[in-house]
Amino acid sequence: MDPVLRIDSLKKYYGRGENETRAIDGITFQVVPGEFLGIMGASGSGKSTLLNCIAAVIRPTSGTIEMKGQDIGRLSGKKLADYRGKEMGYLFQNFELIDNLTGKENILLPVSLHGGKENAGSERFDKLASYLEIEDILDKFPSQMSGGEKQRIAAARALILNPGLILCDEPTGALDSKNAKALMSKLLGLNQEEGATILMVTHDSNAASFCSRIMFIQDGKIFHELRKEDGEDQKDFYDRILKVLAQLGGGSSNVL
Amino acid sequence: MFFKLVFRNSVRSHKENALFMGSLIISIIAFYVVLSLSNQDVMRYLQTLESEALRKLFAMIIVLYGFTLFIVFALIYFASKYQIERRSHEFGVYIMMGMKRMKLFLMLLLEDISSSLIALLIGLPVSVLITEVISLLTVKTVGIGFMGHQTTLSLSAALLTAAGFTAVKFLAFLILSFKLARKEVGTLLTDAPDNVRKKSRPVLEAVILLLGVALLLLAIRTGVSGDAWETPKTLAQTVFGGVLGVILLFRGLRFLIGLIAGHAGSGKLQVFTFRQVEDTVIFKSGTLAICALLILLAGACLSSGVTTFVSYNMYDTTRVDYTFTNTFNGSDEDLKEKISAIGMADQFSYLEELRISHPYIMKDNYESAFDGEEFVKVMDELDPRGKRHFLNQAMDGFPFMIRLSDYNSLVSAMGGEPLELKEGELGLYRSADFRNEELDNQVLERRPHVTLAGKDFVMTGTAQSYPIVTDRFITLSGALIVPDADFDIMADGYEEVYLNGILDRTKYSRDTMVEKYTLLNEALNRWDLDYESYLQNMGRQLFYLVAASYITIYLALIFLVVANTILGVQFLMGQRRTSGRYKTLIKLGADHRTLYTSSKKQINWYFGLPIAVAASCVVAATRSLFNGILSSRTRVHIDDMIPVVLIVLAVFVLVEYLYMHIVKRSSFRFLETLMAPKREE
Repeated sequence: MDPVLRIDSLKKYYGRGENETRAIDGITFQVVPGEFLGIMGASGSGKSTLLNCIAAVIRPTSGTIEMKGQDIGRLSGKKLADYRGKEMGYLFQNFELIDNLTGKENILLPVSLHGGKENAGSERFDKLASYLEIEDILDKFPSQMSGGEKQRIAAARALILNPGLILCDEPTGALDSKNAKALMSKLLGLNQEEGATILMVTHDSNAASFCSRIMFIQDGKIFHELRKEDGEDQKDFYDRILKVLAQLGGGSSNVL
Repeated sequence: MFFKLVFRNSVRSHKENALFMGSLIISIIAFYVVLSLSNQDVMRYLQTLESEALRKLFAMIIVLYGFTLFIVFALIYFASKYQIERRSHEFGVYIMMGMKRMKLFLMLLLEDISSSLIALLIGLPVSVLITEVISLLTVKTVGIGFMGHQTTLSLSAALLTAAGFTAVKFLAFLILSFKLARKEVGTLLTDAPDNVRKKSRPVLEAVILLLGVALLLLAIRTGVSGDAWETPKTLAQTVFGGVLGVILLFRGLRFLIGLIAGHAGSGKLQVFTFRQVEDTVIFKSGTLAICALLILLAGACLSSGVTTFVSYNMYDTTRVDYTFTNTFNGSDEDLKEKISAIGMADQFSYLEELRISHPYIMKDNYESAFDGEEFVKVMDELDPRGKRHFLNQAMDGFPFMIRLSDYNSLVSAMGGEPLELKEGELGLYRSADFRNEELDNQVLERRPHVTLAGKDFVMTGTAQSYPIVTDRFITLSGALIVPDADFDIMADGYEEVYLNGILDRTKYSRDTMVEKYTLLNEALNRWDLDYESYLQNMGRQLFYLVAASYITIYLALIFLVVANTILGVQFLMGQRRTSGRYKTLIKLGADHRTLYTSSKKQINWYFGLPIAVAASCVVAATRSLFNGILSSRTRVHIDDMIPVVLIVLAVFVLVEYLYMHIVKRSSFRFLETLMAPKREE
């Protein structure tokens, strides 16, 4: 199966000479269709830089990022904007809903941006609204919604154009555990039932345990990788994640 | 280090606030231009003719200056407030890092002083240049070039401008820093929360909108018909109704914008754009209303100022150039002979006497010298509301009489149509300042019977209002024109004699006219002569012209600058405050063009709403101003006014276009900074 995303020797350096910071220092991996990939790492490990490179928000220093066979480093202008909007859905830690648009209008924003007709009655819209259980809050403004509702609206917005890849940046970061769990179940459902490909950066081991594969990053490099075994219980996977994290954060190699 | 910070901050804020800076400079220019008015050539010239009126004008200009300083203070206060609010996080960080509040105050003070200095350093030289150009232009238009040009540079005006400007700026600064000083660091560090949108109540909004429109229309109607000016109460009602109407209109506008937003086309970000516009209408309706009113005021002032200037005809062809009299020195010498004797007679193409008197034959019973009851009755019938009742007063008791043949000879010399009266007929004379020609003529058509000195007459012909002397030797609000035979009997030997002279027009061109008057006056002053020349009259008119047009145009400029700066600064600050929305849009893949288009549309609406409201009222407001304030001297036909108003509107559109263009440029530059990739974390 052709990968959706292929990343090859990606590097992103900030500063020069003595001040050089290697945010990403040669990362290579692939994401195949239908995969639910988690990326974990401590603060400053480079995971957000990686996500921003993939989202084409920042340009890498070297290496390639191919989305469905297309090198996004070569994109610019309209093609770049189209890539951001159509090929990718983005789910943010702080929801990034526009506060003077209603839930419905927020969800339809990508449609408006990328040339489609803003048709609220479309089949996809209805399906998402009902699956994410947001039908009752569609006409509310973000200030009238709870955190969980906001994130579900944001999820619908990320999915409305049926993008090839959904990038999630700490999606549960601003939610309480109950809402976080509900959101992750919905994302997992979308992954399993619709075959949505998801790449999620997270701190939260609980959220990470919903993934099918997890990459751990440290100092800009891939440090370890976990794969959920066929039939493996989520609880067991969670325990394995905690072990790696313990190594990552508290391993003797890191004691100065 | 400290000064480096001050310097960097100043440079940054000048870049960000080019619009505000530009407006400050324009205000400085306007201040200086109006304060240095006394140094303008035309004013120096008028000083010789109308020094008393000028003294009053200059006193008024100081008041006007104070008033505009207040308006500019409001502008500076609000614009600086937005800037300080936006930087509050920055200030919080300085304080957290251990900067003393006093030092922060000093830093802001130095920044403020540097911006004031820059504005003054640019503004003052430019204004000196502009006043010089204005002075030369008015001299050329008015035709007093022979005076010789003197530089308009006025140190006192420059000092007063600088002092006033610095004072309001400092005052605004003090109030704002006082407020800032009372805030807790925590409050400074957290950004102000966004306003929470209230739920839309369409029915209520629609009612408010309709009420606003209705009030506005009512105010326009009373303003245009002239009813507004009848009493101070009606005027206050009209102004209040109009202002309230505009405020309500903007309050209720959410209904309309909501409708449009609901039916927004399928263009990119159409919904977002209209939600942004809606935000403005919800949260800023008061500001929009004030800006609309300011723009309306500016438009009305500008069009009446320009109309006054353009429609002013100093060289009225129906004018008397000189009037001589001995009424006041009481001598009996023959004026015409005296003029000939001193060799001045050949200057005139016409030099004849005009006799005026009262029916002195009835002097023992002067109260019943004239019975105009039927005349008044007919007038009351034709004008039942009695709006022009003062017209009747001239017809009471002991009226002025003008000798028919004298009057006709003067009128013919001025190129007018003489009045023909038969035996037993009287003509009606009205001063040009107090007449209702249409009503008078309607009354005269009915040929009312009147009695003068015991003799029956019918009043007939058309109402006359040619000038009978040059200027102010005698001002008649109303008089009777009486056939010679009757006049000679009724005057009973008491006459006021005015010798009117009209210069030989073939000898002088328009441009040398003022010079000609000046030279002739100098020659006449050598003799013991009681005379007045058209120069005085012209001086007064010129004074009205210059005063009215300068003040109205000055006010228009200030209002326009203030309204546009408030709109512009508020839009840009609002855009910065809601930058999160744009960042989200960028993350969702909005490209440059989409964001620019949306921002452009928002600016068009933001400026367009108040401009549209103002523009739809400006013609009415101008007409109302003409009805009420401006003297009938400058009252002009509506047909003459329309093209001028259209030109003024075109200038307006240009100014607004420029402002909008500047705001759009700043907005694009800001969006550009949002699009640039940044390192996060």
